[in-house]
Amino acid sequence: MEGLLGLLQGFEVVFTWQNLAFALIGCMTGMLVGVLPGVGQSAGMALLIPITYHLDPAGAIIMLASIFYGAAYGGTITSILMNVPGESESIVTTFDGYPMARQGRAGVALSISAIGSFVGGTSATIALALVALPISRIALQLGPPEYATLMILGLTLAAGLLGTSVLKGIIMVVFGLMLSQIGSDPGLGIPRLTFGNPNLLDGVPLLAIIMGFYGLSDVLLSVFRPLTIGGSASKITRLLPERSDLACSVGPILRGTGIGMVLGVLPGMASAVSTFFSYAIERRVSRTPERFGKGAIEGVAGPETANNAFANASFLPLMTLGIPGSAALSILFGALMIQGVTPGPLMFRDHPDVAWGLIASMVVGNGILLALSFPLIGIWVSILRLSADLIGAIIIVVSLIGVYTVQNNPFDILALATFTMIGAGLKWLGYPLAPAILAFILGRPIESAIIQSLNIAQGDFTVFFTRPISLTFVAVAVLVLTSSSIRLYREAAAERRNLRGAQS
Amino acid sequence: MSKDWIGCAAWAAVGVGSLVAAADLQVMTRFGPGPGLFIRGLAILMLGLAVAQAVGLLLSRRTVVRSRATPDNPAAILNADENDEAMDVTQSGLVRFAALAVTLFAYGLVLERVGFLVSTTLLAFVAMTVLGRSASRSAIEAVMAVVVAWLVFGQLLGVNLPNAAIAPLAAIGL
Repeated sequence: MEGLLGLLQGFEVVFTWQNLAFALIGCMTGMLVGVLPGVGQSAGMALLIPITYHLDPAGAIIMLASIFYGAAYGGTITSILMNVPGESESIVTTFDGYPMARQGRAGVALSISAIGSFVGGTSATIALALVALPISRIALQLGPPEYATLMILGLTLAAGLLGTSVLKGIIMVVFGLMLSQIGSDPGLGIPRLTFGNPNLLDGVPLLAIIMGFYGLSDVLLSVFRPLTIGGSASKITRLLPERSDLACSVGPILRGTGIGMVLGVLPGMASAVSTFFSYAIERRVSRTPERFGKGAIEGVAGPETANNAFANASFLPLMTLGIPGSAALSILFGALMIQGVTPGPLMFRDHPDVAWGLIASMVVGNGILLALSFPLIGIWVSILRLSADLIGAIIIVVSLIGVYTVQNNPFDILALATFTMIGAGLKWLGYPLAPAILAFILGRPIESAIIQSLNIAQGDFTVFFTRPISLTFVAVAVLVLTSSSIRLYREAAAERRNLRGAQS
Repeated sequence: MSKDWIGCAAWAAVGVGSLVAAADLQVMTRFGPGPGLFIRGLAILMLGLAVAQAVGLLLSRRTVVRSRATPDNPAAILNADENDEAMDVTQSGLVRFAALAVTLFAYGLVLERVGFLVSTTLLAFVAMTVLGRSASRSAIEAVMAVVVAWLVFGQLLGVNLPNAAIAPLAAIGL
């Protein structure tokens, strides 16, 4: 009940002209960056943080959150129309969405995605509203050892679940933790690794890392990438799904909602896992699995629903535990911190307007997306023809001005330039950046949780393994890492056998 | 794979460098864990990971091409790397990359000296030209971009944008 009252309070925050306008602008911008080649969801959010800095907290967060789900839908548009998935979670959508488009059913695929996203997103949001308060109360009961191991578990999931190398993921986590060590020490205020630079006493500016890793480094690296002109977009004839399409999609949408919600609440879980699960399950339950990959509407409806349910459910660990699950959410985390709101269990007590406004804005934002997705598709398709050099230059100018305007300190520009170089180098070497950003954000909270635990246990390091809950977290973390490593090793061995077989 | 060895060496350097830089930070104080505890622990962990990576590189016989995700093999999505777009490092590409990198740092160094209008116009012009737009077109668009940026940040959002600090530019009101 409390949750529903909170949600009502949230609607009060959202339903002002100003905040509705922010949600609308956010959804449009989100779809725009989702559609633009070479600009992902995270980059779009990173670029707009400086602009939202000058708004009030509720408006700023509503706008950034709208960009978050708007961009997810933008990725759907390019996946279906052009076979270009923006992010890894959209890959599955290309399997059946693009064949549907080639059969002239692009409009149907897009509308079923929009409907599925709306159902999945709204259900997840209502569930979030209902359980957020009770969970944040449980979170407040967690002791420092449990909290420390829970955050480490989140980082482990982020490092170990996706990608070709578990080791590279862990290295990036350690790198992010090391970066978080720069600045004054939390206990005594002694400067650490600041190299005599007073600008570093407050730590490395988060915005510089986020914008360098996600906005600028890709622009700089674009000079090495052959110009890819997306395939010609398919024509859209019919928009609304037929009754048979809807009948086929009810099951996938319901199952997708469930899958997305369950996986979304796990901190550090990747969204691509939910789309993969949904696709695999739809294929298994289907009476005609051979249609999959050739334009089966179930293969679009399920994963797209799961993706959006996941995205909205993943706000739960962010808002109740203070653990962002993905790169995009860590950017939102950073934006909240810049606004003076600490995401975590205390958010509902200290900043109820922001917390509930954010949740309510998800319902409104999903509605806006559903309404906007059809009339604007033509515009998005034409935007795809904007030239990459212009987009790149705009990103460079906006991010440099943006990072400066937050504190009016030219040092932040130099920091941004430095992290752009580091990010470009790491991308070139094939390291994932999301785990580093997550680790950077969680570094200080983990450090203080560990120090508190050690103080409670009088310096005994076994405190993390003797309490049942924290031991469980550690065990799950170890399990995830070993199972991922074994899976990757087996696949590599299988690939090697295939290669050898092909050669002989 | 020489690329992997570059990464491995860089991490070893990060580990050693942090140990050196944190040499005078106390690990334990009278009050409990000191300021140097975590950075030392992390640096040692990083060195360990670099060694593990090196061992892995020595033992692996050849690089494996991962299968792409297809409708028949959706599980391969889990192996998709965050950035798997192909990169083709050419000499002209390196020159352009370096030009952009220098421009970024230069902007931070000159912004408060020559003022927002001049430095941002130059920034936009260089960025567009290096990214492949013709110089004449970039020049016009750079001026337009700066006017828009000045309106959005300076007027709409009310940010204090720096004026030029050096005499000749300041005299004419930039």
